[in-house]
Amino acid sequence: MNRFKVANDQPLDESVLDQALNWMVALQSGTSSAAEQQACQHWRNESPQHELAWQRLVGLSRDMRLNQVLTAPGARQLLQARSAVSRRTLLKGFAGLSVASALSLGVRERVLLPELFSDYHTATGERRHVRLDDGAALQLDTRTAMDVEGARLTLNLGRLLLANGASDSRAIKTADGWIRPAALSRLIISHGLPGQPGTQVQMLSGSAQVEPSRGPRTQVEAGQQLSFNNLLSGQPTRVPATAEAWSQGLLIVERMPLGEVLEQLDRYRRGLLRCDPAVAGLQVSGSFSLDQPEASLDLLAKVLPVRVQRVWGYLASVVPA
Amino acid sequence: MASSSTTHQMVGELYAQHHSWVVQLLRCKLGGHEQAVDLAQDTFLRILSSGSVPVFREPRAYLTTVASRLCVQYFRRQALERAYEQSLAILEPEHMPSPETRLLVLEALDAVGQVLDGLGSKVREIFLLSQLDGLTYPQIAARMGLSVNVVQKAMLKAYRHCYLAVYAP
Repeated sequence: MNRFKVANDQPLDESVLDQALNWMVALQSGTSSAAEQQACQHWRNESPQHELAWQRLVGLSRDMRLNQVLTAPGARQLLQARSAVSRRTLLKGFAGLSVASALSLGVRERVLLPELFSDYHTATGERRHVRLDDGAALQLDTRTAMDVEGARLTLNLGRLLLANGASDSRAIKTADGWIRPAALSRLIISHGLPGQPGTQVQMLSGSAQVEPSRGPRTQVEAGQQLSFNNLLSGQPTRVPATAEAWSQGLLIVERMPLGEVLEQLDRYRRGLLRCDPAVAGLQVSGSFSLDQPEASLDLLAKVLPVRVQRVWGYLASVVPA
Repeated sequence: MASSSTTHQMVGELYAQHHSWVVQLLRCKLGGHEQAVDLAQDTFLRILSSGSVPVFREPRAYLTTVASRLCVQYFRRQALERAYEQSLAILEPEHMPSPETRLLVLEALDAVGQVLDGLGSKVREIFLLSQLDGLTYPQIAARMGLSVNVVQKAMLKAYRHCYLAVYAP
């Protein structure tokens, strides 16, 4: 999987590269003498640059080998099939197309960069299911960004629900540290949500080890939730019964201040959502749709002494009625 | 070179202004919306990881170049997958590799293929006979009806090409 990974990209002198290439080609001829091999060894010992150049070429040659995965004729035939696709045929039509589409204006809502440049990311209001190669299933909440590298997931931002497969080597990383769930565990992990510093783990079933990057480990059991930052973990508390509601598109709250409810809704709604401080402290109980945040705002206006002012459907302010 | 935060910002602007246009461009080429979205994402990622973003008079021309290169890679990957599926079709079920193994094989072949992309077919064949089949230069020369000297020059060229593909993309 790690073929052609560059460990360091320190540039090499052109002349050193040339010499290394010549040595490599001479020694791979199948007809090199012992004296040549010694001379090459001597050249490698002359300077660290020489050795670096040599190691890179040896690495290239090693990564080129496919015999762990296929026979040589099979590999050559498949590589041939791959490159038979002609560049020229493929690119026909591109030039004309760019002129035609240049007329349509493509302005989009700005997207946060960590979302944009992750392997998986969800847009505002989007929830997405992802199945990993090893059978684990994930659901990503709105505005979530995640990278996948083998059994290791990195949650850059947002919230996810993970139903771990049979893997007992799964590890999830956030900026605060590591979470290592046991096989077949189900858990919710969130990072960087409004009003929640650090990372939170909610164990729905199974168990997990939480390891702040510079602090002591803690075990989290089914039914417990734990918040941590890179230094320390809080005390485990009970997972609220409504923890999973977001995965069904619902926000269920009990005596939550309106300001916090709107902060939650804001993550699912395109545009800006403001709350007048005069009503931010009103207590709200109920269940609201995350998939239809506008309807949820209207519902709030019905049950509370507030109204919603909208400007072009983009900016919404919740103010006293 | 622009600092990394400036680069991020500039790519961010490029993205905000042209993302949906790139998706549209790729959708016409690829047919499917989902692949178009994925490849558009890769396009911006490629620009970001290249480390520096020059200021473009005509950003769409540049985006087209990057996107079309990725498009070629995508089609090549598809051709590879089809050829592999065909080669597996003749196997008895009990010899069929697992899905994980198949993915590993495809990844490996695709990685090697990408490094080799751009090499002439003769040089490439010589290089593969040396690297995959482990033939000596005299053996390759005999097989292809060439002189050993020509084989050696081709090897030099191929190695340099691969080195640049990996270390100076």
